[in-house]
Amino acid sequence: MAQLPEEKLTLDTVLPADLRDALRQLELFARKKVEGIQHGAHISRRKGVSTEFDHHKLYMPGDPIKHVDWKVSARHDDKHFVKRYIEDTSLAVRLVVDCSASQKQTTGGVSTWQQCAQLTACLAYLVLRQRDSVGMAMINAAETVWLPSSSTQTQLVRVLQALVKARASAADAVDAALRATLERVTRRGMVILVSDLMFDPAAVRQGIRKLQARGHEVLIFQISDPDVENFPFNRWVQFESLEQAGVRYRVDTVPLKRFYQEEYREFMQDWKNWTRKHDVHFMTLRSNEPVEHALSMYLALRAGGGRGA
Amino acid sequence: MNFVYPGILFGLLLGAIPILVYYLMRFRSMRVAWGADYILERAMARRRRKVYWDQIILLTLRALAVMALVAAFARPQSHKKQNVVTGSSVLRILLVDNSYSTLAGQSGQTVHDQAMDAMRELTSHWGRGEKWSLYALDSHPRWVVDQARVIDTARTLATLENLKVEETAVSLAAGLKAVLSHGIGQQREIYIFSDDQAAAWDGADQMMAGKDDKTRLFWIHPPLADRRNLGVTRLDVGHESVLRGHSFPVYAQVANFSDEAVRDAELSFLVNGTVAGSKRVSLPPGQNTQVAMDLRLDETGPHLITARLSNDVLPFDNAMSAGVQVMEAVSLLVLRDADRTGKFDSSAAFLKLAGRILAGSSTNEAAGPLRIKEQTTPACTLAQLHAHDAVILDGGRTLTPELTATLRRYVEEGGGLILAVDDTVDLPTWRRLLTPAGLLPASPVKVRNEPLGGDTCRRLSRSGFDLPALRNLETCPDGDVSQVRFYTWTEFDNPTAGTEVMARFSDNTPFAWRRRMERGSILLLAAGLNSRNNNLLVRETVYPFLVHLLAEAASASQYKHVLGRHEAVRYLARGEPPTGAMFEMEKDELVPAVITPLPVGKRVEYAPGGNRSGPASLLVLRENSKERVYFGIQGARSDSCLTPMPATYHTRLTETLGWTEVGSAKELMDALESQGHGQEFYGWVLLAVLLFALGELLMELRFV
Repeated sequence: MAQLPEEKLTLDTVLPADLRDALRQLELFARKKVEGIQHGAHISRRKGVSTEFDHHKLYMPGDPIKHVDWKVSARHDDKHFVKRYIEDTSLAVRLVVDCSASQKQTTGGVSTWQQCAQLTACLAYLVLRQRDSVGMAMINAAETVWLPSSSTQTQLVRVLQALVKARASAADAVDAALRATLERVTRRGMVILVSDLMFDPAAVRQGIRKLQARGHEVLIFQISDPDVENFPFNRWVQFESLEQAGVRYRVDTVPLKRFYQEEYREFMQDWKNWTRKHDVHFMTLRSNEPVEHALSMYLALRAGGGRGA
Repeated sequence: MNFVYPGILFGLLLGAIPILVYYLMRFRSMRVAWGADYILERAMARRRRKVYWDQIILLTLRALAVMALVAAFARPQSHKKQNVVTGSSVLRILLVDNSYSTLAGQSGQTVHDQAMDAMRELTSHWGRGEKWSLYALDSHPRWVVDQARVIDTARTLATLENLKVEETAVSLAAGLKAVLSHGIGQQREIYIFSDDQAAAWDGADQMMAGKDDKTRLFWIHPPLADRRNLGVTRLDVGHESVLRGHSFPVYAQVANFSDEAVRDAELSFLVNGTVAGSKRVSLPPGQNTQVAMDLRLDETGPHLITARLSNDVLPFDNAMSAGVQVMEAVSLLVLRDADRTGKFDSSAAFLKLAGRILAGSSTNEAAGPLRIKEQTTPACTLAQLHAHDAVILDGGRTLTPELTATLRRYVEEGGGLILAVDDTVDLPTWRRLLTPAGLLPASPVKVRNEPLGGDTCRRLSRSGFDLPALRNLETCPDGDVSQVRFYTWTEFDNPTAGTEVMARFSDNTPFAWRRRMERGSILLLAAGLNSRNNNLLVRETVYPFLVHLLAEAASASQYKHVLGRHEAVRYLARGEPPTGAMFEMEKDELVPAVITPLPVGKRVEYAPGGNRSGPASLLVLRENSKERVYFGIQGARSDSCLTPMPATYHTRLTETLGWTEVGSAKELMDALESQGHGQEFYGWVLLAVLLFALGELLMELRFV
């Protein structure tokens, strides 16, 4: 089997200082109402303490007298109304990171896993800087790393340490990660899937649909490798599967090239159509692109109501 | 279908190369760690069958393309000659003048040599499989090569080298007509290798049929700076047989074939290759002259006489040869009446005396050039006659039919008969017997007898000799025959056909006639050779005249020493019969000759004869000895005039034929290059390359 260079991730390479500086001006807001346990900057579906008026309701015994809107109640003879406000809450972001062996795909010295780790770190940094909580599930068929949500600054260190320690290996288990997230996370929040998506999408899509049904907003960041995208071969090639040990394909890539590229485009288009249909933001990030640029572009589009790439 | 180079078909195995490369590349595949095997599997699963067939089709196409290239280089041809599948469409025709005039040139480089250089240069640029024809203009104009394909340059050159130059008058008009009507409709390049000899190009401006826009003509004629050419047109020797130690004349006819006068050219006479004498010749343009030389040969047997001019621009016509047989003596049989026994009654007595005088001895008759034997008529046999070179029928009255028949057979079998008509002749009997037998060249009218020493007589003339051997007597002081007087002579009339006058009286009436009959000849003398009614005995100047006359009569039995071109050689062998014979021309190989048995001896024949002027010899083989006899083959100098065609005619030809004129191989190649020679399409190459490119293009279009 072809030997891939062992990835040497460090805290500095995963989230360097200049990258942190570049992310300083970015903000990630939830598009949907979320349920946080702390006061925050995101709209909650709960009514409560806030400055933003929501609606009036009939006074019921037990309601605080201080919330009675006397001016509105005066216009009604026998009824009293109380003001209700929308509650601002914190955002809970759950990062689901695919660390299967397919993430070891490398082009130009940069592997998909490196880009994946860097993006995950950036997102964690972004969320924590907003004092929201972030949790992470890093999973493959052989290993699962689960970091509970936390909004403390030490959470970022834990995320980064987990990313540095992790090795891309084994087969995909994204659907399992989504199931675990669904089981463990009860409050509405944001689930961000970071993966190369090189697997059968049916189970994953099912998991995403269930998360959405629970009220979670789901984002998908696809890390794309240029070679996987372009298939730049013109001779006989023996492909050795990164995820399935011992599986090889000896192929004359010249006649296969066109078919592969067509298949790849269809696959990606299928993902885009599905995410558009189910209101899931889908963003493709090539492994040779700067993370901050792609991320800022997406957040700008998101702030303007766009759907990402 | 067949192939020009079938050996190349082994290269069809190269068609396996794409398949080998396929498996080699598969074996040496690059190893890549791949994460997107989900996409890869889907692509392979959906397209597996299509990819499989594409691979098969592509491999087949590539293999076929390689095999098509190999087959193209093997040059496939259809079985029909005209329906050639591949190759250049240009038909190249060489029209080569092989006449002797192309041998003209200076410093060893003749027109022919330069034309050959140009042909070599031209053919060396031809590719394999190119179509070409060769039309040779010589004595038998013909297609030497008719629309053949060039196999290799060496073979083409060998064909050209085999062309032989011949002494013949060629017609470029006929050659042009042949080549222009050859391969009409095809793209043609006609190369004419010829000089600018006016006679050869006569009528060429009328030969335009077949000239079309697809035809390009090139005329390669190396320049000729000096055109002054003398030629020996004929060489005559006095007799076929001459007497040993006696001078005999040789006459060379020299002509100036050029437009300029030639001064002081040296004409040499050679005997068996050794110069025996030379003379200077000066001739105005277009004129000819006869140059005489007296020769004397001291050895008996066959000799070769050659007249040779000093070398000029055209060497081939500078020499002419003739053979001659030198005899020890002339053996004569005198047939006389038995009653003519007086000292001056018969020719025998006088001739014996003359022989002794010629030998410088008054007693030794055997030392003289004449061997005389007498026989009384009519008692003689054919065998007795054949024992002698010539027979003299010395007048007389006892001629019988039997003797007449014997004489006729003697002449027919190659004998020389001398009819000496003196005052004793019985003219009615002679007319009655000899005329029906064809032995009388002319009809005797009457015998004139005048008083001896009187004023009425006949004198021999010193001029007007038709016999070449006698011509030098016109000026030779020792041979002044004009003082010879005959007081008895016979007047003749109505010479028969073929009779020629050898000598005349001073009043121009004939003295001696000769008529050839079968292989022999008859010499008729208007006066007797006895010394009774003339002054022969006291005029020694007549002896050379008589010797020549008798030697000529004796030559009747000799074979001809001068032959025309293509004339068969005939040699009558006497004595021991030959067992074989070989004919040889100068520089040619020996050719066996045919021996034909005859009642008397054997006759050797070489039927084809020589095809050009020059010396030849016949080697006659016998059990115990060999004999070589020489011949001179002579013919008209039909190819000696180097006068160029007139300028106006040249201009008209150029306008009519639209040719490109060049003078050398380099000029020819420059002209061809400037006219785009060699840029013709090679359809087979184009087809193969296109097929190969199409296969590759298909592959690119389908899979990239």
